[in-house]
Amino acid sequence: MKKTTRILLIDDDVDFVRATTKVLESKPYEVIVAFDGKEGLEKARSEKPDLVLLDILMPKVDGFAVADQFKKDESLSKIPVVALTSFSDSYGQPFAFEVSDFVQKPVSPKDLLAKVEKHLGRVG
Amino acid sequence: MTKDRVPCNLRSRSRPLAGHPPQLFLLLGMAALLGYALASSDAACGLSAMTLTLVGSMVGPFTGGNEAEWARHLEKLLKSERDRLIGILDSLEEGIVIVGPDRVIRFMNPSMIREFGDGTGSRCHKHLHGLEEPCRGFCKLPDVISGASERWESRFPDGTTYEIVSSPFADSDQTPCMLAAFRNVTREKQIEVELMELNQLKSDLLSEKTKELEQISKDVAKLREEKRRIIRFLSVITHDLRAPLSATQSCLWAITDGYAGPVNDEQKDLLQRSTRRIDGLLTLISDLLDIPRMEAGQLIQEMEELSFNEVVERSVDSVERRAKEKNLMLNVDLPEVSPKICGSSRRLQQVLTNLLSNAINYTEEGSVSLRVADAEDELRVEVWDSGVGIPPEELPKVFQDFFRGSNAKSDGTGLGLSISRRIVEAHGGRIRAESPCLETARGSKFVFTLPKKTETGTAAGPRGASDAAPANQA
Repeated sequence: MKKTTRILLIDDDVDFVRATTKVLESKPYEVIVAFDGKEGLEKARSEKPDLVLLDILMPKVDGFAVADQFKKDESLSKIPVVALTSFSDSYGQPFAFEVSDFVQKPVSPKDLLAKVEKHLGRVG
Repeated sequence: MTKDRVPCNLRSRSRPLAGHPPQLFLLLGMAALLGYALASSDAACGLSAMTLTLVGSMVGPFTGGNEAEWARHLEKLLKSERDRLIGILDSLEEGIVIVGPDRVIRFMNPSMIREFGDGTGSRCHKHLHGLEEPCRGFCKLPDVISGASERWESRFPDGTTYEIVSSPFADSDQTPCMLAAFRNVTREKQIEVELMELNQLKSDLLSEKTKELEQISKDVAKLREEKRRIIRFLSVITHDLRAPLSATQSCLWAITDGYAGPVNDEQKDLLQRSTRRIDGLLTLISDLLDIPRMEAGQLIQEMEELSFNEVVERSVDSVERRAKEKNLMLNVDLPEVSPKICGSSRRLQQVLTNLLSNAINYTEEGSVSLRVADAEDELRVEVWDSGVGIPPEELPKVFQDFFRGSNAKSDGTGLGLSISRRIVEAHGGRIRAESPCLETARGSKFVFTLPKKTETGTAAGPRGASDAAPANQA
């Protein structure tokens, strides 16, 4: 049994990460941060978080590829993944990957926390 | 008649006689044989018994009498046949010439004389081709005399072309000669050449058009690539424009909501002003970047079955903060069972958010309400407010591109409602506005309908709708 709930935040925007971390840490959540998809996958495998917040447009390995890896990897496939999107991410192409939910950026602290709680509740 | 003379088969091709209509040569041969025999000085002597029998049948039978009468009859017969054969030779379009083994022209018919001038008694190479020596290497005379028939074409420098058919011919003195028939085929050759030129022109034109088509398809491919490039570029621009604003907004919200320590009311007011402006800017960027898509008829990229209440709730979430800031009541009336429809959840959310934020923006006190009515075959969505409303003369224009009402706030492109209209129409629905609205006796009301998903698929076939692009469109 883990003492705290651990959330992996994968996003290349340092400022967004800082603001989001502040909001998430107001609750008993431990926030693990990764600044690109590659690092995100590594930390997901080593840290086994309870929930992943995943940005879509990132350098190296983007959110689409990370979500794909989560589906394929048995040890990760049970972890809920909430994608952080903006309209512009799909400019010219529809989303074609599976995640538990979407949150559109920018997201208000209240909405973000509600979404996180919803998916943490689901895994129990 | 003078011609530029060249050897008769120069620039010509020789073909065997086989395949040529036999009747012509039979007629020509016979006519020439008889005509030549009759035209020569000792006409009577040249006639064979066979010829007599033949021509006799044409004048009528001799009905008896003495030798003098027989001679008169013969003479009459000969004259009649001679006239007829001369007539045949005269009226033949083909030129007939007989050349002896010594290359001396023994006979020319009138057609031949018309074409080349009378050359009887002259050397054929001299008369026909203006050469002092026999046409060396080309002359067919020896071959023909030894028994071969020849057929060839000869083109003279003035452009006249003859088809020449020559056959071995034993003259009345049994000398082996050459009988040649000249047929002027200049016009036929011209037509042949013109036809060839036309064919060439046709194939030139064809290859030219093929090249043009290839160029066009290259251009189209280039344009497609250009379009992809522009879309990639816009995608990057959008992201790069929105990302910093989005991060700023997240930071400001974290402060405003007290996640970075306590905030007093004055600070909160200033922060809210900042976030509102950023919000406007984010919407502006989205609207501007929707223009190229709108023009390409590609506002809708994907259609899926969705639960409509969820779409409404997400939209309400996104405007709740702003309504609270303005102390407005936000009433939401949804069906108990969420209606299922086929559509683009992001785009429908965009419509709802647009209608709700407009209502909030133009309302200073009172409430903003949203109601979803689930009818049998369509959803009816109403958004109304207690705000300033829309002047009646502006009502018909509010869904036009770039329309800005007289009450319009400073931010905005005038695209929000026109984009909303396009999205609703792409889903097979309709949208309209009324002001003042009945419920509040003021403000304005926007109503749109969406066809519901039916058993056979979608009521309005959104995928086929004008604004819906195929899902695989890049």
